[in-house]
Amino acid sequence: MRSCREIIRIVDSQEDLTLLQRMEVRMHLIICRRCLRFAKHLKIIKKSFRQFIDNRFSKVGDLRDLELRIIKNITKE
Amino acid sequence: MNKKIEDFTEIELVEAISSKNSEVIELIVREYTSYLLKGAYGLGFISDQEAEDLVQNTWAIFFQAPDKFEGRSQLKTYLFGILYNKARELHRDIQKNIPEDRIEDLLNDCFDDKGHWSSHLVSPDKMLEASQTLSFIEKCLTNLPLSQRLAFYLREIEEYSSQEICKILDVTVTNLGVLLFRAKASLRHCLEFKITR
Repeated sequence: MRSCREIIRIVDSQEDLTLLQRMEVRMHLIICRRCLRFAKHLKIIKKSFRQFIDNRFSKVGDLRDLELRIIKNITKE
Repeated sequence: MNKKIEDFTEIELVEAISSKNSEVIELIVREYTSYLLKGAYGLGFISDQEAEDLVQNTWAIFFQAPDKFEGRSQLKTYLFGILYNKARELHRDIQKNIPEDRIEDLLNDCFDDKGHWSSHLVSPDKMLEASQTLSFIEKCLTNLPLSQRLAFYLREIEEYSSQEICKILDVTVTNLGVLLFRAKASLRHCLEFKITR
């Protein structure tokens, strides 16, 4: 059976896992509370990062002004 | 002109830009400015002015020498490369060499010799609660070096492949793995610190 360290290495890698690896990870997370916490932490961090960027970007008004300024600068040169 | 960006090959775009085709210039500026602005926020340029300046600089550099884009990567990937280099210049981030450490070395801090956890992990509910406070995330993000921030941004928001991110950051796949691991570990530790403080 794989150690917590090996499982975390697999969970973190983000590579495409084989069926066997997926099963190993799933089984391990059922019995290991700390690794389950770690996996949940990763999900929360990724989700909140996306929320932060979306939230910041949603506050941006009309981009046309910025685009026009850029186009004007480029064509002026 | 009713053409869309998808109607051009990368090579056709280069030719049109080099010949200063104003319609194509307008088309690509309108297509990619929003991605670049979002990227600027992802890199930690939080104020509108800072982020817009970075995007304008990126376009200026691109159009100063459009021939440098040879169509070997996607235009968007190429533009992110310029954005990153300009951001690094502005942040005076002189750390050009990515640390050569291995993920295994970084894992040593969390696990004992038998591969068992050696540290306590906070409850996911508490972390979720803290992460909802977006100012926490913002503060934690500012602690990350630019290379880690962009690697994490490109992976999580733009969903780029490792190969594309390596091209933009000019790093190996192994180094990218370390950057991503470090970014996630730092964000996790930062949030944990804010919860337990």
